[in-house]
Amino acid sequence: MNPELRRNFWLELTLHRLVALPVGLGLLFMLVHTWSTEHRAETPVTTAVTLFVGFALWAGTHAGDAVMGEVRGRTWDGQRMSAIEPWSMTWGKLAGAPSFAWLGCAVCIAVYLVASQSPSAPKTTLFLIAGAVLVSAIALIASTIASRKAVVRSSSTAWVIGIALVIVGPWMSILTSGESDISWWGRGWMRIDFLLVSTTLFAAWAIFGAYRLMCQELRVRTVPWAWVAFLLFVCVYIAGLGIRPSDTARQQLNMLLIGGLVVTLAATYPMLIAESGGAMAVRRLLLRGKQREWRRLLEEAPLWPVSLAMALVFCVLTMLLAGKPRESEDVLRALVFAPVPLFLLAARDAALVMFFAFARQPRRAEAAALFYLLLLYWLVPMLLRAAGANGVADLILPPFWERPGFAAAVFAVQAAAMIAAAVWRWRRNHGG
Amino acid sequence: MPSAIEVSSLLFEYPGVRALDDVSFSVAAGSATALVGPNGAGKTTLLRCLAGLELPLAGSIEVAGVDVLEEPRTVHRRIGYLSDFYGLYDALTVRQCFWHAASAHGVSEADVGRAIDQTAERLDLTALIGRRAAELSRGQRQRVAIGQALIHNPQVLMLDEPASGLDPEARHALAMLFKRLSGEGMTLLVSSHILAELDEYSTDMLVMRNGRILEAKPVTGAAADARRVRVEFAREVPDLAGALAAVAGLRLVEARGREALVEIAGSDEIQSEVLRSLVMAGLAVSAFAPERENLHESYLRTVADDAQSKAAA
Repeated sequence: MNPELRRNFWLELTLHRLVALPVGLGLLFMLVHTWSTEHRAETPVTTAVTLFVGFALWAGTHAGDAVMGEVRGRTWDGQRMSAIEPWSMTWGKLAGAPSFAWLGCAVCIAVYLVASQSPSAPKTTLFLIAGAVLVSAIALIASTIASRKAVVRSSSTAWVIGIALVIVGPWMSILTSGESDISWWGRGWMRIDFLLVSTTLFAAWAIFGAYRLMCQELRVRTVPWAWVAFLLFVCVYIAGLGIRPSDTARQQLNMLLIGGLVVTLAATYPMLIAESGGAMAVRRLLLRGKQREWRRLLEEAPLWPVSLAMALVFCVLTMLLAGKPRESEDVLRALVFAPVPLFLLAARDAALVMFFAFARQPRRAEAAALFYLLLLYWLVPMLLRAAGANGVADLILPPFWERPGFAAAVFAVQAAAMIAAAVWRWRRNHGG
Repeated sequence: MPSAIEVSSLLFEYPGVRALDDVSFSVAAGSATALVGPNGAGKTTLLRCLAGLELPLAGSIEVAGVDVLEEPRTVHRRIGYLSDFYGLYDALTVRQCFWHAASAHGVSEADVGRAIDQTAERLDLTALIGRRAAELSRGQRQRVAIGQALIHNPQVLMLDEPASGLDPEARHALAMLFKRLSGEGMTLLVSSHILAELDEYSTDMLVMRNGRILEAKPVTGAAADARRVRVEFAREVPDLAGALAAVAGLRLVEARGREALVEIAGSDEIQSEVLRSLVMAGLAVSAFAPERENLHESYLRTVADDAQSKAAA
C-alpha cells in the first residue's frame, strides 16, 4: 500500500469518524427528505450538491495543508528524503490528506444520484467530482509552491482555497453562464459536455502539475517540458473559445497566435511572483551556462523565463504570420496589432521584479514589485489622466492596441531602463 | 580505508552570504565523525547538501558511493538524516511512526515488522511502541526520530545536533547507541555543540568556521594518540629540555621537574624508536604514556592555531 496514503488514513480515518460521518449525514438527509415531501421535491438534490461543494472545499483545505502542514510540523525533510516515488506521494496526499472530506463527498454524491431525476445527473456527477479534484490539486500545487517561501510557512491554509477559487471561479462562471451551446474551434458543444470535458482535462493537468512539483521537491531531475506543454494546451483551448464558426483559416490563426501570446504573458506573472528565484537562481544559471551544463541549466531554471521565452516566440510568429483583423472586431482580436508592446511590457515587469529580488538581503521583494506595478498600471496613469495630463500618462501606460508603434517605443525605453537598473543592482550587490 | 563521503570544492551561497566556501574533505567508511564549529559556521548547510536537500552552487559530493548531485534519490535510499529541527507525527504511535518510516524508505512489507522490532530494541523503545508520539518525553521523541532515520539500515547516518535539549543521562545513552552503530560498521557524521558528548564516540573530527573546513583529523587511533606523549623520569634530569632536544623524532611541548610532554609524529614503530633513543641517551624513563587530547581541547587548539596563523598573516 502507498505509505503516504496509509499514513493519511491512520491520521484521518479513525473508526469513530468512519461511522459518525455517514450516520450524521444519513440522519440529515432523512430529515431533509421528510421535509421535502411536504414542501419541495428538489430539496434533497440541492442539499446533496450544496454539501458536496462544502466537503469539496474542505478537501481542498486539507490538500492545501498536505505540504505546508508537513513544513510547519518539520516532517517535510523526512518526506523529501524518503524513497516514495513522486507519483505515489502526489496521489497519496491528494487522496489521503482529505480522505475524511472525500468520504463526505462520496455520501453526498450517492444521495444526489439516488434523488436526482435529471437525465444529466451522471454527467453532473462526473463534473462535480472533476471540479472537486481540480480544486484540491490546485490547492496542493499552491501549497507546494508556498512551502518554499518562509513567509507563508506559518500561516493558515485557507488562502490556498482562495487561490484555487480565484483560478477556477471566473472560468466556471463564464462556462456556466447562459443556456446555449458552446462554440469551440467553430464547432458546437453541449454546455454540460463541454464543462465536463474541460474540467476533467484541467483536473488532469492540475494533478500532473502537482506531480511535477513533487518531482522537484523529491529531487527528481526534471526539465520544464511539462510547463511548455501545458501552456500550449491552454493556448489551443483559449483560442478555441474565441474562434467563431464563420472564421476563416487566417482568422483562426490570428486567434491562436494572440491566444498564445496572451496565455504565455499571463503565465509569466504568477511564476515571477511565485518562484522568481532571485540572485541565487541567476548566479546558478550563469554558472551553468559558463560551464556549458545545459541540461542542469534547464533543470534549475525558474519557469517565468520559459513563459517569457514562449511569449517572445508567439510575438515573433504574430508579427510574421498574423493577418489584419476586420474593423468591427473586438479588443482581443485587435491585440494582434500589439504583440511587441505586450511583450516589452512583460519584459519591463520581469526586470522590475528582478530589480527588487537582487537586493543584498531581499525581503518581501515580490510585494514591493507588486506595489510598484500597481502604481505603474493603475494609480499614476489614472491620476495623470484625472489631472488632464494625458500626454504624460501615455508615456507611462500608452494605449497599446490603439497606437502600437508609439506604445512599443515607450515600453522599449521603459524595459531597457528597468533591465539596466536590474543589471546595475546585480553587479553592485552580487558582484556578477 | 574507503571513503563513505567525498566532498570537493563545495560552494553554497544564501543571498549576501557564502555559507560554504570551497569545502573539501573525506570521511572514512565506518568512522564516527564529529562536525564541530560555532553557530553559523555552515554545519547545517553542509549536512543538508550531503543529504541532497540543498543544491550547491558548485562542487561535487559523493556519499555511499553515489554522486549526490547526479542521483540524489539513490543517495536518499542509502543514508539516514535527522535535521536539527525535526518533527514527528504526534497523532501516530511509535509503531506507526516506524512503520511509515520503514515503508517510506523502501523496506519491503515482509520485512517491516522485523525492522520495527529491531529499531525499537536498538533504541530502547520496545516498551513505548504503542504510545503516541505526542505522549513521549523529549528524550524519547529524539530516540523515535533517530529510529526513523536508521530503520532502513543506512550506510551513512547524518545527524544535526542530535543531543540538544537532552539531559545528561539521555545524552550518554545516545552516545552509547552511536558507538554501537559505529561498531556495527555504520558511518556516522554528527554535528553538535556538546563536545563532551561527541568525545564519547567520535573517531574523527571536522572543524568548520566561516563556511570553511579548518581541520579534518582523527581523534582516536594510532594517528591521533601518537601526537602527544607524557614522559616521566625516575629521577630529576638536569637540563631536561636540552637533553630531550638532542633526541631525534620528538618535539618538546613542555618540561617540568621529572616529567615532560612531547609530540611525536608517526606510527607505533616511531614511538618505540623514540622511547629506545631516550633510554639509550641515559634518561631513566619510568613512564611513557600517549596522552589523548580530548575533543574539546583539540577543537580549541585548532581554532587557536587558526587565529594565530591569521594574525601572523
